[in-house]
Order: sequence, then structure tokens, then C-alpha cells
Amino acid sequence: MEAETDWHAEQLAGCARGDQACLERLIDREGAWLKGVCIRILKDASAAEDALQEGLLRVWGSAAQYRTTRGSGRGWIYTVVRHSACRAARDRRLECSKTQPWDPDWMEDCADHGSADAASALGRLDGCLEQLGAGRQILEAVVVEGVRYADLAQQHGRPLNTIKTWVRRGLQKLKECMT
Amino acid sequence: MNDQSRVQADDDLLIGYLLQELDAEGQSVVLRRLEAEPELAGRLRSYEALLLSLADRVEPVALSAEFRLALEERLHSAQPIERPGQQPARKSGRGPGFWSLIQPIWPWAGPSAGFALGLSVAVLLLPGPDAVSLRAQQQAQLLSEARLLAALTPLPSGGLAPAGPSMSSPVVARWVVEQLSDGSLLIRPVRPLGASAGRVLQVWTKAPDAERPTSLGLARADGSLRVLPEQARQAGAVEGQLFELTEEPAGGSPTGLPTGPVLAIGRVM
Repeated sequence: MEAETDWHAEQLAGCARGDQACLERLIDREGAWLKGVCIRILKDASAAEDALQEGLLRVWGSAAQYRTTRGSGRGWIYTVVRHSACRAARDRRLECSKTQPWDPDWMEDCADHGSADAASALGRLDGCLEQLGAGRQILEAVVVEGVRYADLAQQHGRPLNTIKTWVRRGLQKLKECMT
Repeated sequence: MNDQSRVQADDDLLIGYLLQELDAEGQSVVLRRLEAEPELAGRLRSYEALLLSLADRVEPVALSAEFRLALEERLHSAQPIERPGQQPARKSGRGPGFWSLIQPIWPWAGPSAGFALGLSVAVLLLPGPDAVSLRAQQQAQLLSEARLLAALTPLPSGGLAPAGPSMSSPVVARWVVEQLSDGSLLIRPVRPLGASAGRVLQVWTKAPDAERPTSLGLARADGSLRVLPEQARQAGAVEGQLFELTEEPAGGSPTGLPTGPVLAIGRVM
């Protein structure tokens, strides 16, 4: 499973060659999650599918530009799709600054075999997000809801650089906690 | 600017790049530096991993039955993409139409049995738009009556398969086994998971009184496997029966028994 990143990069390489089966495989594996990301940004399932289509067309059309130095293949795909959703949200003049309460964790706890090894990364993430306090809402607004720095600055009456600092500190704390 | 300030400015730049907050010039600067500075690229990946872990918490939502057809139309109506020095775009070669193939649906049905996900996945043949709604109805009917049989988790240290679920010290399932209303079994991941490059996921089951595990087949690229009713009946799904997924060479285990690492394992409750 360690080569998850390579798998996505391989599919991107296939897309760059014009192999549509690679795009199909990406949709098989990531489509539902990418749609979930788009819905969180656009708050509308139909608009989310439109944005996802736009994003996947961009993935298909610009896959040749992907380089491993630009991050993992999976991360690059999410960035491209997320960008499409954010742009659609702006086009729709959606008030992205209205954040919603965080959804309950959809990964249900299923079994107990008394092993710390089996504790999931998602489980750790929960605890680490809790430790962020108020910073959690900022981080989730920016990362999950697609709220722009400028909107948050206006919403909180703070300079843009302060928002940048909040986001950076939030991510750094999260990283330290997850390590 | 001292070292600490420089690092913070770089981090702001990387985060801004990942969140698409930079203008075109800022993006260009980051891309140039990433090519030239491996250390910066490493930091980018660590931030990216964090952002992806947050994205993974988002609830997956089934693509509509029309999604792929609409995307196909847009792909075909788009101008051919110029890729200097590369072969022109080609069909996948998997049938008369690109999307005329087996594809997954991921309807979200909410929690069930007090602890397990109601997420279901199945396969659907899409021979054409006329059949889509009927197939989707049949699919929805099957999935609405899906019954959770087992939650498969990573193998614990010590190598013993979990005896069953408990809420006192929870772990997170990687795959679940469900029985659909037509008697088929559905083994599917609860988040995007697949095999390493050049490897495949193979699904196994072992009844409590069986001497060895039996293969149920190779999982699809999305990590799911539908076991049709007749095979499912033969395989059984009795209390205590083991299900597991292993990573195997392309084509499946060469021995007929699991050879690769166990990615997830669990018993029928």
C-alpha cells in the first residue's frame, strides 16, 4: 500500500499519453471522494458534479504538466479538482465564508483487537484536530470548505497575513501532533 | 530576513500554492523553486499529506448514473489536446464505447447495525442511456437491503484475527463485507484503497471448519469485489468465518493460497 502515490502518478502518466482507461480508473477509485470534496465547497450535489467534470477534464488535459516535484499524484488531482470547485463557487457567488459544523466522522469504529498498531491515521487526526481549538474551524474552512483567505480576513476583521499565519500555524500544529 | 522568517515565508508560499491562493506569478515562482529545491518539495509533500488527510474525512458521495456519460460527451466534444511528441489520444479499447464498462456506484446509506457504515458499492453495467434508470433502480433496491457481515481491519500485532467488533477500544475498518438482497457478497473499501503498482488485491475467505482459505477473486481497481450469488452461496458466510484481503502479484496468487501481506482481515459477526 506504500505505493499509493505512485499508482496515481502512473494513471496521470497514462492520461498524458491519452489513455482514457487511466482516467476511468482514477474515477473508479477517487470519484466519490472527489465529489464529496466538491459538495463541501459548493453545497450542491448537481453543481458539485459539474465542477468535478470540469476538474477531471483539466486533470485529463493537463496531466502532462504533472511532475513529482509538484507533490503526489493524488494530491495534484485533488488540488486541480478542488480549484475547479472553488472557481465554480466564486462564479455562483456563493458565500463560502459561512462555514458549517464539522460532519461526524464517517469512519465508524468497527472492531477491537487491543492493538495500538491498528489505530488509524484518521483516528489520530480526530484527536489532533481537537487540540487545535478555535484554529480547527479556520483550518477546516480553508481546507475543506474552500473558503478563501480574503473572505476569512473580512469575516474576522483581520489582515490577510494574519489569516495566512493562522493557517500555517494550524497545519504545523497538526503536523507535529500527527508525527 | 532571518532563517526562521524565511522558513515561515516559504511555508506560507507552499500552503498558498496547495490551497490555490497564489496568483499566476506566485504559482510560477513555486513551481520553479520546487524543481530546483528538493528540500522544499519534501516540505510541500508533508503539507499535502496533511491536506489530503483532511480531505479523506469528507463523506464520499455516489456519482450519478449520468456522470460518466456526460463526462464522455464533454471529453469527445473537447478539442483534441496537443501533446507534442506524443501519440494522439486513443480509446481504451475495452468496448464499443469508452464508458460501456463496469463501474462502481457509491451510495451513502448512513450508519447501520449501530456501528457500521451504510456505505455500499456495487457494479453496474451501462450499455446505454436507456438502461441507466432501470439499472440504477435495481441497484438501489439491492443496496437498500444490504446487510453488513464483517468489518475488515488491518492485521493486529501478534497476527490473530479480531474476534469481533467492540466499541470500547475502536479501530477503523478498511473494508467491509456486505450481503446484498440477491444473495451476492460485496467486499468494498471504506475509503479509496488499492494495490501497489503492479500488484492486485485478492479476497479470501475461510470457514471456521475449513482447512485452508479459498479465493473469492481479485478486487477491482477501486478495491471492491462483488461475489455473485452462486459463488457466494458456495463460499458461505457463517458466524466466525474469516475474510481477508492480501496483496498479490498481477494475476493473483501463484499458489492458490495467500502469499502477500494481509491488508485487512475480519470475521463474520
